[in-house]
Amino acid sequence: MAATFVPRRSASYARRVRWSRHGVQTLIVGWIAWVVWSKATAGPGVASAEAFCPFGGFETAWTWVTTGTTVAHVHTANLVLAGAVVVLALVARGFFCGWLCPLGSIQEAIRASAHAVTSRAPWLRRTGHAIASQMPWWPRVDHVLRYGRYVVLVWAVGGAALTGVMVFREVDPWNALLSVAEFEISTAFVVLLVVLGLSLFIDRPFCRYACPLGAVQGLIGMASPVAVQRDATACLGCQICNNACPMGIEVNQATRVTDTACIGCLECVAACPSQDALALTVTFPTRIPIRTSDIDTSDIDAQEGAMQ
Amino acid sequence: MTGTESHLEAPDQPMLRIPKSAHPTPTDAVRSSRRIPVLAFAGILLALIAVLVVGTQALGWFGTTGQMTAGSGERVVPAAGADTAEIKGWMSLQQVVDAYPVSQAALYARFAIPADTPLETTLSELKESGASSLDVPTLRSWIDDGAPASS
Repeated sequence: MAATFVPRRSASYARRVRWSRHGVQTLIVGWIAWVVWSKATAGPGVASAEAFCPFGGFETAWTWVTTGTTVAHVHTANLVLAGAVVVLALVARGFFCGWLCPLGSIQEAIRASAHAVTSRAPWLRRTGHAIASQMPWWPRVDHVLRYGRYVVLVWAVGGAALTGVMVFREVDPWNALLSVAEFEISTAFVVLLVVLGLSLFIDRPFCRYACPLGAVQGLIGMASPVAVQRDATACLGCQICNNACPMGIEVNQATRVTDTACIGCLECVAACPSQDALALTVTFPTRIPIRTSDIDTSDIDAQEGAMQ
Repeated sequence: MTGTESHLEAPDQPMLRIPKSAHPTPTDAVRSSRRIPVLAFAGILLALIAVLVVGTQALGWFGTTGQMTAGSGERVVPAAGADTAEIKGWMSLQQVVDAYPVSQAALYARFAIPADTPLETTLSELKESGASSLDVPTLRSWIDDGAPASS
């Protein structure tokens, strides 16, 4: 029997989820800023913020396994954090991206700032919509560009394994951000500017199209039993979840959100007005049929019609 | 309460009415699942990472610089004849000359290091100053390829 009324999700729930995540993101960004400052003021011998990037662990993995050493700029901390990301992805898919990655947090903050501005300037919003309406081809381009991060992954890991040098480092916006105090105009710095600029218009552009660490987590996360699950009998069909998703996943089309792009931010769950439509769930090996399209709703429709 | 129940009578908690015009995409059969409390789940994952980092730090596996330190906290400089992979940016020119078969003159000449650069200068400082073309991977390769041990 389908529902005609469903419980409303409390606004405080959304606030708790969002503020918890933003709180963690702020702490991580603050801590990284402190590490960068320490390094800049204390010089060699002090931990570099690069040592806390898990992707360095993936880049050096082959060299470490075959020679017992790491490539330049990578330390054992990177390997430990890479291992932690593997565990996190197996348990919770893209949790690292959604809750911990400082570069993702900065892109989100820029996008939120742009939203705040456009919400106060209707002419800007109208202009944006007008431009978007002239780009009907964009969803197809967006779809193709999303494969870019797998290309970057192969190039970065393969290049480091073959040459013993972190080839991705030269264009890595994260590396440029950590070196921003040096005011060095490098290729990576240009990439960083492009990423931050695009963040004004696109949610998490680097995460969507170019982040090799996100690609790794997406692939490993396919084995995770945890995912956001949708119950169509409580779904309003409003698509608020789609609009809330920073990775552009069509949550309203899924039963379980197992898209490799999912960053586990839970914005879709927080945004959903129906308490039971979206929830974070863990699956068990047994299968139970809950195909809602098979549920007979004729009696409810009849009652609803009588009430009107 | 789940969404599969109907609520046609006055409910006790705030409710949403699903409009007749709503046509949510049907959900497919899924494996048996259980809801997870979001904040507790996030807290557990964060604690897991903290335990991993603190644990590996305690075991000495969480190195964040290229420096190896002995129990006394002293930097461990590679011994003579050590693998060039142990050359790190924190090492001074003097330490490189002492630990590897390369002469000071050849080193200065190969990487265009200004003659007045003190031997105490670290490789990182040299690179950051832009005064030389020296970088650690190239230095390693050069020594591996048989850098001149005397000028």
